[in-house]
Amino acid sequence: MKLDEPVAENPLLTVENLEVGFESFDGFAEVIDGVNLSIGKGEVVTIAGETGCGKSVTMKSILRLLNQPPARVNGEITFDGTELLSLSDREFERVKGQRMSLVFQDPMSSLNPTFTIGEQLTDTAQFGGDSDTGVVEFFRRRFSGERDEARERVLEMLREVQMPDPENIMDSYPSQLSGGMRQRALIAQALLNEPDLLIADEIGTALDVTIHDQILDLLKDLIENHDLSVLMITHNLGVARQVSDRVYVMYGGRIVETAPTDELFENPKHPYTQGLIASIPRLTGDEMATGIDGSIPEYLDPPPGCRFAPRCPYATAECEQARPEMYERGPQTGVECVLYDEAVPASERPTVEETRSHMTRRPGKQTGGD
Amino acid sequence: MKYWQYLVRRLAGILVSLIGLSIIIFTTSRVLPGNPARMALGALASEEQVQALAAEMGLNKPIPLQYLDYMRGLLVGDLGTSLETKRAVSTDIVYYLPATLELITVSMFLTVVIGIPLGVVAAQNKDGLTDNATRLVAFFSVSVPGFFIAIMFQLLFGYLLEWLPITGRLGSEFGSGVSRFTGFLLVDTLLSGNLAAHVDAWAHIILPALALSLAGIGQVMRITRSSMIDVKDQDYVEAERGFGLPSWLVTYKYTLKNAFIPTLTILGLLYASLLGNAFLIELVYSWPGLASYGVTAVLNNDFNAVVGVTMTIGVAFVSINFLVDVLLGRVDPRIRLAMEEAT
Amino acid sequence: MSAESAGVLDRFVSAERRELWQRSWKRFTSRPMSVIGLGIIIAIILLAVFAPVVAPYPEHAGKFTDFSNTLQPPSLDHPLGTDHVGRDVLSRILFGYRLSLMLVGVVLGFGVPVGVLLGLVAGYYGGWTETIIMRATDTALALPPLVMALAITSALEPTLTNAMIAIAALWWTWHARLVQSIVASERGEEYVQAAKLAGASTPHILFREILPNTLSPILVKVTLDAGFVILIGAGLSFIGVGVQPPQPGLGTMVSQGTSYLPDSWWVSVFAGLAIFVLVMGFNMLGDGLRDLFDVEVNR
Repeated sequence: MKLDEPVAENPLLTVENLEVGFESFDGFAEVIDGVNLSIGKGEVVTIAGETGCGKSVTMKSILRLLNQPPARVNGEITFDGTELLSLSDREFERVKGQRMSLVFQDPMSSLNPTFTIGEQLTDTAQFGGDSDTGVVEFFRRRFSGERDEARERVLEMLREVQMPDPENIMDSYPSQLSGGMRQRALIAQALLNEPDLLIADEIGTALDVTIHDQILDLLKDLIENHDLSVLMITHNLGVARQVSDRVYVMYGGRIVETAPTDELFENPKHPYTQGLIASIPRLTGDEMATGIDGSIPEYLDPPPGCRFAPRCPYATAECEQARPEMYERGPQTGVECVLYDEAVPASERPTVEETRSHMTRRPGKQTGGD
Repeated sequence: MKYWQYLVRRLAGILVSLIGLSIIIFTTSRVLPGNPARMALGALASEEQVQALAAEMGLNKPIPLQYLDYMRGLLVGDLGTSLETKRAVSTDIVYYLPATLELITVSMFLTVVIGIPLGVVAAQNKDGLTDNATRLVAFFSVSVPGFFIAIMFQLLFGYLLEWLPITGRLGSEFGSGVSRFTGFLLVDTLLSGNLAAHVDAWAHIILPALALSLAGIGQVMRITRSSMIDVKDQDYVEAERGFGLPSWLVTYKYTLKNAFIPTLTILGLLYASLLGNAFLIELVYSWPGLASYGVTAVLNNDFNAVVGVTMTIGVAFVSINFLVDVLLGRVDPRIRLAMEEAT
Repeated sequence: MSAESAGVLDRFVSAERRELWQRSWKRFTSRPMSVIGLGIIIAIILLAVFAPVVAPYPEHAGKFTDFSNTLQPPSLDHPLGTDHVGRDVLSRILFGYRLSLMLVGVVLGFGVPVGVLLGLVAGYYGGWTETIIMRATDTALALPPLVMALAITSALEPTLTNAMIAIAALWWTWHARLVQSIVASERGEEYVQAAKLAGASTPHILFREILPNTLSPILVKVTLDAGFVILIGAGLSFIGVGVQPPQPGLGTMVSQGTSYLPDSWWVSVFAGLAIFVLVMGFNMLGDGLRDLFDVEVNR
């Protein structure tokens, strides 16, 4: 199957025809089925989709965080001209440690609970990316003046992420910090090595809304100041809209639509994208869609054609037979849905409102009742 | 609640447990079949002599009063007189305890220095050859009776290979060349400046200590392995690896410290089984320690000695568990917080 | 399973539950260790039960002596040799298994129900009831189990029965603690609240709603405990306060055999191996069950 999709100009990271499967007791589950994506230098790109759509697996395959076996990863992942999958673990760790940083989803679990913030961050500042450091070398540098410089860098970074009272925070354990402070500490840690690519998994979603917004604003500033390329993973299209330049919408282990952020929100094409946008709560409307009916496909025995077909209000027999092509391909756009075949007249293509009308709704002003 | 307040509460709880323990042990020891006074004096003594001694020992009083008398004595370090050795029980305990502590300390040391590294190695080769081998060894070590492995060691290293001595703490030829300073022979031989005796003391302790520590090594190995694997999958470890920190640093600094927490809890529990199994191991190796003394006391209905030994072990045991709690609080700030929040 | 027996089962068990059991059985049997463990236990139970029939010299179990035949090495007549009074070691081991299994049965048969009941009560009611019960368990746990059993036995006659009483008197505490900790976390759960609101009686809530949730950890613990009880019993017998000669206690046999080491090694070695195999069987099974139910239980 040919699946060439739009590619960013001057890409830092490209993922081509990524396939990831898992062997399990019940059989082989093909979770990622031919994903293509790319991130240009200085670009902020989001992968959006429901829980279980495969966005985290995609991210983990890029960072080589999956245990193989049970996972099996195929395809090509190129980072700044280097093919990553063919690197040895050691070589890969070096590239990752020096040039990529990951901010995990949950600020509660991403800081080591038995070390102070200062200890962890200073080690990262001093030894991050130097994965070849030996024991003797470590102790020599650990107890040299270099440690104080590293400490200064950490403090500076904590100030940059607007951490309150950074001196004090250095001596605190993660359990003594609020969620927002932990998130800031994590972001600071991720930026200490001055990475080229920042990968952020559901950043801030574990926090409450106001803090979440502050964190996203902070992130926007940091991206600008540090000239970062960013891959964001989120289930929240609102986050994608707030931060990113371009969005990939993922469903059932495939990219179903991609477009620059503004375009995607103004003119969502894929019925799934439309459904996602329709289920963003609207403050003005008097009714609210509760979400797209049905649930994500079973990966052990996925639908043979379009994986969204079982939930799609517009699905035809054709959809269930074969995987659709990428249609409407532009330099930065594409949609994997037969409705966008040139043969289909534009009038037959659904709008968000139409999709909304197919979804289960509940009155906006009343509560309770299924 | 402050951390130290928590510790004080814990101490109070321990005191209550120990008093409960002393009541149980004291009461059971006083409903002995047979008359301890008669046993102390032997079959030839007259009935009047036995009665007189019974009165002197306070055996005619009701048990609660006897208990209060005993506790009063306990506060000034008087545990009564052993019917068997005719010495003060406290003297006997001070005499025999160091041998047992020495044995347990060496066992604990072996448990830690063998068990933890093997657990780390097993975790790093999860489901590999080393991992499966350690799994088998662990199964073996918790299933085999300690006294049986002790006998097997004697057969193999003593009788068959003739590498090591199989009974006692020190060869008889060194008896006069070592003075008693601490009761710990590994220390006393050095203080006496007798290097040959020091080596001999090691030769004597190695088999019993190894036999005693085997079950613990298996458990420590498995718990270290499984907690290393748990911790290794934590986001923060993945993150630390992701930031390109040297992998040995991530394993031995950032993973092992967290993985050590369950291990530390197990080490506290292990101390109990070491104290218990020492009774069997000392018997096999004729190790002149507290456990040997206790077994003799039990077999001879020497009730003051039984109570004294049992209470000593109870105190040692709860103190170790208290110490483990304190250490846990030090190692893991979350536990300290949880302790502070408790009640 | 034949179609007919499935039909009978259908009347008692719902299809889903049966499927669940079948899946669990499949997962259980996919681990060779647990199956071997179960096999060992079943084999030893059968051998012990039928010892009078299968043992080559059943009369050697007791006070038999044959001084013309003492300390014979393993041979065709006596596959595991004979002891210091000429008794067949294999026969005595088979009868020794009866005593070990009886010990397990009595200790766990008493300790588990009592512990579970007290744990349920302590966990459910909390407050003073809990404090008193838990303080009692703390006290029992202030000594290593072997020492505690030794101290209690020392006050009584050193017999197997008294050793059983001593260990059983100790054993309920572990189960009380296990169940209490589970119940304490379950009592806030919605299903318990719902049952309360529906007006269910306390016994109903305790036994019908909460108890089923504690069953798998208890089962795992009981299996692992069995091995531990056997070890403690053997230890007491080895010291000389458990099974008394001429009864064929496994620990007693190891102890008696030590007088004839190293030349007549077979008495101690085979009796010790016999203990090891049985305990290993329980541990293998318990470990498999622990993985199967995915519960955390310490021994």
